[in-house]
Amino acid sequence: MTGQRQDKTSHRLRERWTKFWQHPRVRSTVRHPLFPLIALVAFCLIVEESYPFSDFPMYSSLSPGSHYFYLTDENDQALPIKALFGISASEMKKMYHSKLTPMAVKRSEKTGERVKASELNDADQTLAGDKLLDDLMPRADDRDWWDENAPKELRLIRVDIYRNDKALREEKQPITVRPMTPKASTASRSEQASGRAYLLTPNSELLPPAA
Amino acid sequence: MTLLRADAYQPHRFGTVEAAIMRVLLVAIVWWSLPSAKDVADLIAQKKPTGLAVLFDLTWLAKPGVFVGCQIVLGLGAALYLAKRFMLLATGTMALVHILIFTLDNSQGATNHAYQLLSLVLLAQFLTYLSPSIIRLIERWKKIKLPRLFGPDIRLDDLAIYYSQQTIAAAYLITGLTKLIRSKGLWAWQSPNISVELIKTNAQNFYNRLETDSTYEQRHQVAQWMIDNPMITRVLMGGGLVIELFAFIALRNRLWALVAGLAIIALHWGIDISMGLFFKYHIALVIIFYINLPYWIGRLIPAGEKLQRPPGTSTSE
Repeated sequence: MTGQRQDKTSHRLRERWTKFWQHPRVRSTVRHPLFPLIALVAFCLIVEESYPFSDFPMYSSLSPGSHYFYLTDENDQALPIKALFGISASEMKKMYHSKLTPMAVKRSEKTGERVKASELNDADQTLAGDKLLDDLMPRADDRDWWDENAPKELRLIRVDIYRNDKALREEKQPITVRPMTPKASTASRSEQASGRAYLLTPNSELLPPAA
Repeated sequence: MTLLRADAYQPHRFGTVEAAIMRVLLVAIVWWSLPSAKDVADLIAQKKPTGLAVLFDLTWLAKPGVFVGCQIVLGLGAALYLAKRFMLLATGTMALVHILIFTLDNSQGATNHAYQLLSLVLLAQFLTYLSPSIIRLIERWKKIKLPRLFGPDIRLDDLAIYYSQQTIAAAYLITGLTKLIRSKGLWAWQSPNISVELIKTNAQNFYNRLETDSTYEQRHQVAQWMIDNPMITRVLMGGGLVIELFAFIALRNRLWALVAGLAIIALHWGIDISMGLFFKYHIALVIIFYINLPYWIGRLIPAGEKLQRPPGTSTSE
């Protein structure tokens, strides 16, 4: 009996599929010269980011606020990010958020309520900043800049920009500070990646109190 | 709908020289896009895997010597492609190497949107050359004869160019649709907020090398102008959105391809001036496949007639 019912169901499904496939509008859509274009558009919008496919989300949602990050030394002098790590400030921001977003997801799973990355507290932001610097330090190897300019501290600063009616406003916030040992500039990549070449404790005086 | 009438978007034949120039230029930008061995050596981990990197660890590409091997494989594929021999193998190796390298590059936790379109064009060309084998396989398996979408005069080489054009149009359409979806249709209205992004991009460009370029001050002025003139900004930015959404019009014929190509270049020029974001590979692809200068030069000079002649046709035709 069960076998007969299954046969009936599969027969019905096949009939429906044939009917759908033979519908003039479906046939004309599939045979349209632009069908591959439509299929690619639909596929990319569904999978979003999966190289080489993308939904190209740059500047797709424009809010009146935005932010960026930069690095300074112990004297608050800005440092050239490309010379330090071979990446751009924009890439550094994306890397920072790739650390922060999973923390928000974990927090959401723990609390059962959706927590946005922007709602995470200062301690979480500091942790994401530390993870970012952990990832960046191995990139310092073979970069000539470090030979003569190695700073005593590396400070990650976040700048928020707001559009306020007819003016723009900026707010700076230190995210994390990493004291560098003299060895850091000459240490091997593996030493730096494991944290042996520099101290991992952030300078608490410069950080906002953890909420 | 007249705009989407199927017969208006039929592929056409491309001249032998015209197609050869497209192949040379495509190989040139693929080679130009490759990262340096030093940059690849930095890709020692997959911080946030994407695409194939989700399934396979691609960090072996960063090992010494492997990237040189990839360059050799890509070079051999490119040589076959230029010689128009074993096109399935040629486009396959070029697409595979390009996709693997930039999948690893894009798995570092910072998504970059400069190379996707180039990889997609290579993938589209590979799938075009693969399609006859797949059709034959289905026909044998199902014992049916599948209908042919285009006439017998359209060759696989013409379709490779045609589907490259479709891929470019698809990328711009996706960009436009994503803007509409994520902003709930309000993108053009919210566009004066882009002034904040201009200031951010300007600052980021500065902190890359602690240098200001000639457009630094100009970009600040543009941002302030946008804040002062929100309605004109909405009209201008809305125009850019329309160009993205209707990029597929380029598939109608060569003239429409030229018009759409120039509009897209103008859009990128505006993005470069205002935001300092220069999508050089996108622009190069639009110049090769949409603007298609060799064809228009061929139309203007009598000796250029050869450029337009598809293979197998004589002057008396």
